[in-house]
Amino acid sequence: MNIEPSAEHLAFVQGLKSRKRMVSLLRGSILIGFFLLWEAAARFGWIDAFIFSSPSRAVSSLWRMILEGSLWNHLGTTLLETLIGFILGTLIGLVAAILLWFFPTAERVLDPYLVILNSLPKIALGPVIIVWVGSGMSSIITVTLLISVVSTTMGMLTGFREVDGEKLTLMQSLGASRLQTLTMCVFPASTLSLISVLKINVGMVWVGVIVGEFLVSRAGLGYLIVYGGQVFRMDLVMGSVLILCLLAALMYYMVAGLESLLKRRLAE
Amino acid sequence: MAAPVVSFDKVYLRYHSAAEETLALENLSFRVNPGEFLVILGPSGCGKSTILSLIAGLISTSEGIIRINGTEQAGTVRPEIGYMFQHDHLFPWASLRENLLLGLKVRGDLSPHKQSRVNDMLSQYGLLEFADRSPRALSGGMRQRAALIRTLATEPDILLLDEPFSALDYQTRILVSEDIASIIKQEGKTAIMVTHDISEALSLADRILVLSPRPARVSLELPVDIPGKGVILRRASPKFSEYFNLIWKELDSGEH
Ligand SMILES: Nc1ncnc2c1ncn2[C@@H]1O[C@H](COP(=O)(O)OP(=O)(O)OP(=O)(O)O)[C@@H](O)[C@H]1O
Ligand SMILES: [Mg+2]
Repeated sequence: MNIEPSAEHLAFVQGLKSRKRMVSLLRGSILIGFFLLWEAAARFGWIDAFIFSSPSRAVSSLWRMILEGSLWNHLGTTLLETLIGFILGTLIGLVAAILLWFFPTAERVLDPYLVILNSLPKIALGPVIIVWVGSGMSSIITVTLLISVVSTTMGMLTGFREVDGEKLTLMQSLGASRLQTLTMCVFPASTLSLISVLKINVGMVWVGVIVGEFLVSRAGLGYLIVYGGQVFRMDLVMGSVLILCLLAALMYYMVAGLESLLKRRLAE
Repeated sequence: MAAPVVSFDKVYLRYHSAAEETLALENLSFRVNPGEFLVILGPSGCGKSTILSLIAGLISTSEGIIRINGTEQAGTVRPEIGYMFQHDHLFPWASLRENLLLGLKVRGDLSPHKQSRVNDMLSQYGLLEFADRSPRALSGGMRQRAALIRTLATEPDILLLDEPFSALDYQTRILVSEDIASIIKQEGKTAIMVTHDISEALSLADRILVLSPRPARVSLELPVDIPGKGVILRRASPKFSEYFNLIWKELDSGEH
């Protein structure tokens, strides 16, 4: 099957490549252009650099924190909270979904509660959580669980329910127990739901952690933002927001990598 | 006459939903002899799949008794029965070999002997080179052959086939049905196949039961004796069209 590609095909592939290059180029220049414009605006006095900060001021304030060694503590705290929230939220939501799948009557009974809980702005419960759980990392993690568990359960249950009924009949005809049906058929068939749940959770937990830190904490990027705002150190605020953007991008690519890995395993 | 492998004795089956009750089978009686290829032919929706689900023990009768090898089928899945569906339902996330071992894995019986038996079938039926790949690599006909091997892996005596070829295109359907029929004969299994395709029934059956529209009753019982071995020779025989017309008339009269 080694046919020499035609000139037309080569031209087509060439076209694809150059279009891709152009997209990357434009993407990059938007980013660079934004920072250049911001910097210029601050330098030439188009905006008040004390209020709006500037890329160079934000970076140098971060640099000072790195030299002092205090940035790592904040960064580490936020990352740790995010990681714990993500893992716990996903696991608890998953276990709940599996239990509900095992007990369809419970699922029927609880369904409206799940739907309503899912559409509630749970972040609004933040202040209550502080009162109940106390101020500290545990209440930040509680906030992340509050906003990730129910959506995980709902997402996975929807996936479980969508598995072809005849596949279940096949498992039944082979004499499979409900647990075997879950592990050998229903769960692997719901891989796509798992991926989308993980994707949503990364974003949710992130929001939960930052809001939690706004409310209670004495460390973390969310804390830096609030603190910087209170003492009017906008350089610190903008620097922290820059790090948040970087981390968000990093997480996005990690999840996308995981997604393509799982999809490739499915497609093999 | 040898004792039947499967017998239906005045079987009724009703489906219930909040809105209504559906009588799917009414006073249905028939028997299946050891080693025969029985085809149950009926219009769509008449209750064919219901019959197979009952034999497999996936649902229970409303009235009447079903016996399998002499003992009553009380709504439990039995190891001596293998069920094959219209769609192969091979799992895309597992390799072909893992798919074929599914039934054995469910039973916790992955002995080397059973595994090598599956391996033999893989090579015998021309699928060995695909064993460690995803079933996505298989064509429609190969997939259906794989589904048959998955069913045979647990070594059932009775095979239930629910329109196993209807998802295939015409040519593949003829070739694969030829394959599958010969595999089943070779393995010495009793087969019960349901279909609404007269030609398919005639090309495979030792005996045909024609069912009425729902609720299903046996409206014609027809031992099939067509000279020629194999699906293609059978289809070419003049007797084929004689039988065809007979069944056509029977089904047609049921419609009105
Ligand atoms: N779980 C169910 N609940 C209610 N009615 C059902 C159920 N399963 C089947 N029926 C009804 O019972 C009748 C027989 O169904 P069955 O699936 O056995 O027919 P079939 O002959 O296999 O049809 P097809 O040719 O479409 O496969 C149909 O009218 C169907 O609508
Ligand atoms: Mg059917």
